Amino acid sequence: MELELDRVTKQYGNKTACDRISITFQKGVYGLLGANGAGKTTLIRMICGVLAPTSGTISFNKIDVSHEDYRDALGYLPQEFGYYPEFSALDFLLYIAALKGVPKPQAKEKAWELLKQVSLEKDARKRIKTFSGGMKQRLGIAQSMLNNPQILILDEPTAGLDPKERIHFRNMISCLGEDRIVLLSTHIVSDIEHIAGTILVMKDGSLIHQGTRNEIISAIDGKVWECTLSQSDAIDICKKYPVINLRQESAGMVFLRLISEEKPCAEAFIAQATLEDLYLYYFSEGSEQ
Amino acid sequence: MNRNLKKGLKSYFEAPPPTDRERFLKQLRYPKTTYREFLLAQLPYIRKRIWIASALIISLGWVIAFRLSVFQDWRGEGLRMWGISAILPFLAMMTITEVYRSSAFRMAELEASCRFSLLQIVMARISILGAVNFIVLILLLIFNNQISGYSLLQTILYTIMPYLFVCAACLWLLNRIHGSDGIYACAAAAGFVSVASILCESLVTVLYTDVYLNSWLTLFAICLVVIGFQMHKFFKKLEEKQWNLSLIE
Amino acid sequence: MRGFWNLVGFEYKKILCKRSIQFTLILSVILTVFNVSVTLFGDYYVDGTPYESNYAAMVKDRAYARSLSGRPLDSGLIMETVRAYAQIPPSDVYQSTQEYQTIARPYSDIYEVIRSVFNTASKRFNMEDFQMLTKTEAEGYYNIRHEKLAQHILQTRMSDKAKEQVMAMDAQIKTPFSFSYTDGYTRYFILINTLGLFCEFVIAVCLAPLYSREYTSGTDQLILSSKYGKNKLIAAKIFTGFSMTLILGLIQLTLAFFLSLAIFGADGGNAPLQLFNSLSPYPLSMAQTSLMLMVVSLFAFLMTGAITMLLSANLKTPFGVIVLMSVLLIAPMLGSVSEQNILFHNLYQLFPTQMTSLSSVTAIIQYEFGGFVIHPYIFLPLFALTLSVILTSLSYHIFKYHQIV
Repeated sequence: MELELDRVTKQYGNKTACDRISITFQKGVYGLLGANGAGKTTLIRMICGVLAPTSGTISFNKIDVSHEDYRDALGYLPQEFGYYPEFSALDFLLYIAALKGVPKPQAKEKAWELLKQVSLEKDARKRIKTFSGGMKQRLGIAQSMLNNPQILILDEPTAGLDPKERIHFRNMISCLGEDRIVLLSTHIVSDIEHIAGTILVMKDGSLIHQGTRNEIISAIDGKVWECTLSQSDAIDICKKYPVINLRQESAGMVFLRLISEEKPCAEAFIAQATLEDLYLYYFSEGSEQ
Repeated sequence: MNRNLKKGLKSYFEAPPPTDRERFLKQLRYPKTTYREFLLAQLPYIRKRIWIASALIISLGWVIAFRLSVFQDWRGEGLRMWGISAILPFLAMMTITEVYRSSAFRMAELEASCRFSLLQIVMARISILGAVNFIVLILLLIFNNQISGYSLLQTILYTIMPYLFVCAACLWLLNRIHGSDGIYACAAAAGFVSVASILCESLVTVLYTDVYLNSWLTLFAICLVVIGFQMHKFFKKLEEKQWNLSLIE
Repeated sequence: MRGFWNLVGFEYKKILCKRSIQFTLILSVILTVFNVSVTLFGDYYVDGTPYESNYAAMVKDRAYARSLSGRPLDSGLIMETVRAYAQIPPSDVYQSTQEYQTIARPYSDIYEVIRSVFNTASKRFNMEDFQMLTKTEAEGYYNIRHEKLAQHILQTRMSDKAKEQVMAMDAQIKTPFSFSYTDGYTRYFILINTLGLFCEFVIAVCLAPLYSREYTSGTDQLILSSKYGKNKLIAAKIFTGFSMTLILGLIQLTLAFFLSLAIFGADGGNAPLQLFNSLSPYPLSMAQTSLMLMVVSLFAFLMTGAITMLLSANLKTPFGVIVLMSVLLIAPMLGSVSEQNILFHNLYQLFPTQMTSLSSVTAIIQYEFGGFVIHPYIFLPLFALTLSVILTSLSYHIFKYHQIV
């Protein structure tokens, strides 16, 4: 099972949204991390075949993205997920199942199974327009799994979910990643940290880093510092270094967690780096070097 | 202080550089716009399509009244007036959909939380669009008056009725159907009234007689009542939003 | 295949479960019924006072016409009509006279058929002229008709071959015409143009969201990334669009037709078209003309559906589709093009609303291509079909390759 992207590029006039991206996905969960405008959604749309690349090829087990068999293996949850307000949840799943070529009897069975899995079975016959944001998102997740896809693409899947639902979803994705390719794009770094086996970091249309959590965090090992300073000292430090966390403490003191190549001040000590620190390291203004 | 002394002090002493400038500017209370300025500021936010549609309708009205030969037959004046009134539904539709823009494009909540509330924004739009429509209708009435021998009351009734009917229908629809579906329903209603107007072409000579004048007046009154009622309902909804927001605080 | 029908079912559901569409469909049926019967409402006024109800007038006139049905429209019947009308005294409104109501009115249909032949470019043949009609003129009615038609045809800018063909068609018409009561059919001929406009508008309203709704609701991403989203689903949409158009059109056309026959009478199916339009060169009966009008109208509806679907695929919002379709349907009805400019005249007949009018389908001006002369009632549906195929493939292509940016 291989999803291969070969020098995939997307250009809009002078702007390059994706620049010669080459990567091969195999079974497992991949997390796609990047700031707004990095090109994540553009890349995802090209993988899903709803946006044509300017150049390059995308294929799954040698089947090109434009082929029906490719889409047969695909499950997709878009960032802004559309629906028909007057359809019930069940109707909507049956409709998507019909689009995915799932025969009617199997579609009904699978639809109920998925509704149970996402805790929507009691609301199956209610119209989608009565659903809350979280319920709609869960329905979106359910529809992406109707055809038991070999490639599952999820763009911001936990948007609108409360913490309990998000944890439930994370566990579900982890299980799914055992025998399929799952590509998860999100701003919620903790989601990627907990479930992605491989993390892809995207910036300005290019993949700048990929690897396991530990591998990519090693890039900022020894660069994450914590210190507690007075107000005025804290202001000076904030001007010079990218600050990950700022917290007002008692007696006018300020706790800072920041990124720096060298020790920022005498009071600072090295802290254990996390993925969020890495995100800031790559995507803050001072990270051009 | 003496002017020469001031001048002297300025030339001999350098002014110190500004300190803490950003913080000072942030806390400065700047003069806010008046409602009148706000109303005028809304003018460029009325979409171009309204101006284009208004100009087109006036031009089309002129062509129908004075140029199109198909209307210059023995039934002339009634037919021309009918032709002009058949194009007015689109003006009504464009106006109403422009007023309801906030709901259609889900800006209502954001606008309701601003200094000039949603109600004031809508009133501003209504004022501007009302003035534009008034000019268009007056021009078309002038055209109709020039080419027909009907009384002023008849001219007003026959010209404006499809416009009022569409206004009432669109307001009714938009108070029930939310989002962009409502806009689509308004387009359908306007087209429908225009088509129905075309369907009644053969009845023009009969419908425009004095016999049916009372029926026209009744229909006119009903449309005004419906419009008034629906507008009242719409404003009430806008005000409820404000109260709901204030309860949350 | 089952998957295809399943998708068609969902497409129908998407359209029909919207209350605004349900309301439009119900309203369209009501308005069709109203349109057929509207002339029967109210009263018939003479000198500003109600004389009788329109319904009573129709019943009376129908009885009169039926009493003359089957008789040849020859000089004998014409002179009988002239003698009846000759008894009407001079009056500003002759219909208000007792003589008209009791003596001449039974022959009013004959008068209406005869007078159009005697109209000239400079003078309208009125009742007073008819009272003075001589036996010679009555005997020469068919010759005058033939000459008038021949003159009209010769003055057109058609080729000689086309003119010959039209004259040949006219030569096939049997004379004298056999008079019959035909209001059931002629009422249908009169209202089918406005009925066609209305049907086309309803079709536009129903089909406007077919593609555009996917864009506005955001479901285009889900659809285009699914297995059948770029092929079967689009085929299902196209099938839904055309089948819905045909169903709507058939219901409206047949409802109007049978209602017209039921209300006004089913007599006169075999009567010649010339009883409605005496200068028409087409050797068709009323029933044949009605069927032909229905068929051409259905093709016009299909073309309207195809145009709507193309706009829907292209415009991204149903609002714009409705506005454009309204303009496309209504605008041609506000103008006309002279027969002297054959190219523009023939192009003008190709608008969807023009195609449903009797004058377009049975026009004297023929369509000519590379030496071939094609009757309008053949060319119009062929054009509609061809254009529908072209536009459909365009809309398929547009939606299939729609890029989600």
